[in-house]
Amino acid sequence: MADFDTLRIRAGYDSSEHNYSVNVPIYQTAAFDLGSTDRADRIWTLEDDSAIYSRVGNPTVAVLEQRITQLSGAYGALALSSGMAAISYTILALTEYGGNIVAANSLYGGSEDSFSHFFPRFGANIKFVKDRFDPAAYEKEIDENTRGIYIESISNPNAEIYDIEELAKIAHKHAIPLIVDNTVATPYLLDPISYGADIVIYSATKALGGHGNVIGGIIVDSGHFRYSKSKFPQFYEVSYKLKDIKGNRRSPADVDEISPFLVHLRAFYLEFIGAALSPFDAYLILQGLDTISERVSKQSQNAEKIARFLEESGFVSWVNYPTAKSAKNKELAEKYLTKGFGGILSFGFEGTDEELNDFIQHLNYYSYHVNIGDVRSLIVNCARTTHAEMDASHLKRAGIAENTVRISAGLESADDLIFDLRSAFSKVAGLREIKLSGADLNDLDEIANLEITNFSAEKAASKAAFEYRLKNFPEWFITAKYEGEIIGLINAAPTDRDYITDDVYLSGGYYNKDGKSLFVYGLEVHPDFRHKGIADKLIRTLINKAKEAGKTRIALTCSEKLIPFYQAHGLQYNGISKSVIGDEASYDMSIDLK
Amino acid sequence: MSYKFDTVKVRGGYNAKEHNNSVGVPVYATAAFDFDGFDHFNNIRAGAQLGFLYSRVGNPTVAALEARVAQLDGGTAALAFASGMAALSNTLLAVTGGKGRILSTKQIYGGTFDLENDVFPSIGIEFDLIDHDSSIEEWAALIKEDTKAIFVESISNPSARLLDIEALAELAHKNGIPLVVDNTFATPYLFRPFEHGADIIIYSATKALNGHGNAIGGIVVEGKPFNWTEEKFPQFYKKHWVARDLDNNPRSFIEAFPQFPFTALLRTKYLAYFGASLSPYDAQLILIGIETLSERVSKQVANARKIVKYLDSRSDVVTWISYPEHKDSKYKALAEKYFPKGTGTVLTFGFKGNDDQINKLINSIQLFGFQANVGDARSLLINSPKTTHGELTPEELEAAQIKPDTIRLSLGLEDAEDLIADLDQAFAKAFEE
Ligand SMILES: Cc1ncc(COP(=O)(O)O)c(C=O)c1O
Ligand SMILES: Cc1ncc(COP(=O)(O)O)c(C=O)c1O
Repeated sequence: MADFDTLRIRAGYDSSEHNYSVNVPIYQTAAFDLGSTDRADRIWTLEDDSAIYSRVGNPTVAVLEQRITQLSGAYGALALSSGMAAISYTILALTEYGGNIVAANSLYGGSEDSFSHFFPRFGANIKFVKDRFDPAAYEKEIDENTRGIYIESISNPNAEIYDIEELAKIAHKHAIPLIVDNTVATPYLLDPISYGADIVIYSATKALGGHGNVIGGIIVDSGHFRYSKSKFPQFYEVSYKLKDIKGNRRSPADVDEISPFLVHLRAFYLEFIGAALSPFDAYLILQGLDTISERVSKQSQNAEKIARFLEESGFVSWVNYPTAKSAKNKELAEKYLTKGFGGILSFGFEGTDEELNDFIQHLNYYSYHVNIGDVRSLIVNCARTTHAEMDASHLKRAGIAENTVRISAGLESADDLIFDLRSAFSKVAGLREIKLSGADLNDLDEIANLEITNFSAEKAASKAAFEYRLKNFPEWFITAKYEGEIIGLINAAPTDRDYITDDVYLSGGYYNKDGKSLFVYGLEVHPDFRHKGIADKLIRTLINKAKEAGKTRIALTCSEKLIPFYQAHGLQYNGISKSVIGDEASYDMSIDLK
Repeated sequence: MSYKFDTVKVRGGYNAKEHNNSVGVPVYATAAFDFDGFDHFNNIRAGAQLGFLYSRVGNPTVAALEARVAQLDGGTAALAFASGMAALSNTLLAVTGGKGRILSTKQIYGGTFDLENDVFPSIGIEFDLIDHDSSIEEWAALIKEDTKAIFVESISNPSARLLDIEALAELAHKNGIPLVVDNTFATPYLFRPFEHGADIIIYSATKALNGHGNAIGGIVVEGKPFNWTEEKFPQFYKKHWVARDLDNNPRSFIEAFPQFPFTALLRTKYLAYFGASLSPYDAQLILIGIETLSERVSKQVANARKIVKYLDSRSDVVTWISYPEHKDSKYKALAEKYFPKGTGTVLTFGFKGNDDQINKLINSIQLFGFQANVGDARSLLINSPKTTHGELTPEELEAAQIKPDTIRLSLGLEDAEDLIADLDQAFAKAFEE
């Protein structure tokens, strides 16, 4: 058998069967011509495995299934429209007629919630173990109705490792399969089957596909497990649907004694509950697989560097990564993960919710969203997003602290990723020293001084102008103070106008205390305090305050280089402004508040 | 202002301004969506702001399809799935909440039939199947304490039988249960079930809705919210943490989404955890297909009528014709009442030949495709009893009133004369020595 790196590019595809197309064609079709009635009979009785109808089989999807099978050293695979479909079909098919599954008590949030609250409605009960690190704890939960043990090989989000080999032994002792969700590890880092796992599940949405452009899932059967008739009678029930060419009814086990599980899944679950993967999406996943080794090894390196940095940074309360100082089962990580430890890590953010929000906003090279395994680095506050299905008690049981932040490392430069984190942490830390407050006439001198420090004489607002504003609408001043001294400020006027054009600006009298809009005169920060996130904080605070006061719009004019800054805060670019103060082109920006 | 059907089919559910002014609906081939900040996430999650979190449970391309079909049917909301079977099975699971009975007919689509036999009973859902042509009293007699819905096809597959939908809706409502209609064969162009009392509509979008035979997909449409009572349908009243409001108070689906509680339940639990999500790429193909729905289906109906006329003239080889508009059909009155634009693009007929001659007929066909689909722009022909309904045992076939000599035609957009010529030559070859 060829090596992994060859298989991931070539396995399961013979171009001579597809008009010599070098790339796998996208068979974007619902149905396939049956040819002759003889051929139709053979296909319907599974003598010929050609595709009939894409819900249950499609050549593009079949290449993906074959490729994963070979990459996994397995017997067969079934591709589905999502990782959750792969998980739910596996659990339901194994537990038909009232079985249960013994599962680790820290799993991906969707698995957690569906295992706890949803699948039991359909007769699949899940028994969560008390101590997921202790193999004996799994054995203790096994009873006569148990139909499998379920774990994640590298858990999401805490990157925990469990003893697959030991758990496989326990499962086999009780004649049940070990099911491993290998999504985070991918077949590149870990081959669970070689350690005794029987069924492997992937969300192909994650590092398997790797580009964050598709939702998909795969179930892999090692072919080693013998599903007994006593525990799995569903695989031995004869059905007319599985008849042979002579019309005799057969059971899934009659059709394929090695994997009646996959026959059952395809013939009943995929066929009737219908979570079919689109051929287009199968193609995207195949394309992703071409680079899986390079991607996942680089992502592992990046994650490990980030974990090191975080541990030494002093900014965080803990770091979870298979090689982190506090990681449990480090020896197991070394044993199972010889090519890298995966792209996922999590850490405890030290600070308030608001600071965590600021922190995420300050990052430039991490997207804030719920996926993992993408070529782009991603960050998310788990307890309130990906694992938000879980209430407080479940979170506690799964070891997910309220302040958990998960990172999925992408393929960017590790230096940039670390620099980005460092500067966001510094901004949050720096901001702790900064207090926001209002202003009144007593602050006039300090405010006028700040203005002169920041602007040339012809652009700076006069002291008289500030005096006027402080007298008439002090509530729209927000100042930032360091050790009691004003080092930044934003101020605005309530008005009914769309913009304050130069003529009214100079003449005054445009403001209306009850005006529905705010016009921002200026946002400024002392040069020694720039790039610390103070300006972000000022504009954000003003926007929130305006919303609370029931204002419907904020407008301002700014120089060209500040357009992206305001856009990042939700303001829209509306073109060149009529204002010519200071002889430099300026631009109108605004945001509608709802 | 509500637009008319043909306007909705090309424009409904999509506002180019929200998509960088793109005229065609973009394919959002993405798994996840960025958030502007935690509030942004939280608002979307709680339904306080429109937006998308993760494509398994919601995607802008798929959302355009859902909104368009909801408008075409005059529904309040819709939810797309990876296949028609996923739409169907998830709907029936959600209506029963995992326990209870469904009342349906013996003459429905083979796959659905098998779902009832092989899959659902093992998870606690039972079916009562009634003969299609039963009287309303006979239907009523089969409604039991724990019956949770009546499920029917507006035009049945393969034999194109019709039902008195209004009478069934009335019966269902009298018993506090919804009427679920599989409207796949009719499409909203020929029939709009909500106007006749249906509560939930299901489509295999693989068929005439898309019409190009190039994507597998399904859609569930919710009408004016059905009056789900707490005692029969507690799943709508249970408070769920996932449906919590902005202040983290758990809510029930009825509380959180009063305009479309069924769609919300289906999306948040069934789509999320059974995971049969539609690919955005396939959603775009189906959207493009819908843009020609009226033109396609009306031409296909015209072709079906011409073929029926031709088959009528071939009593030498054709023993019977099942098409509701046909002069011998017992569904003529229902056809006139419910299907003024035509009764669909599928018809069956009996072929006067032995098994060998049926095989010869099929193997001689040149223009019709021999495959297991319907509603395609290309005409298709198949011997249903041995293929699409091959899951059924001979006894079940008899109960479903599918005769062994049945040939099913799905008419496409070709020139009718070419189709007739093809049948003509194949009939001739079937009887050659
Ligand atoms: C470990 C793990 N398994 C399964 C899933 C579910 O996969 P999908 O989102 O493709 O349905 C996810 C993520 O969503 C996951 O992180
Ligand atoms: C009437 C009807 N409903 C549902 C389905 C299932 O749809 P799909 O094949 O898209 O899963 C079909 C056909 O397959 C059908 O003909």
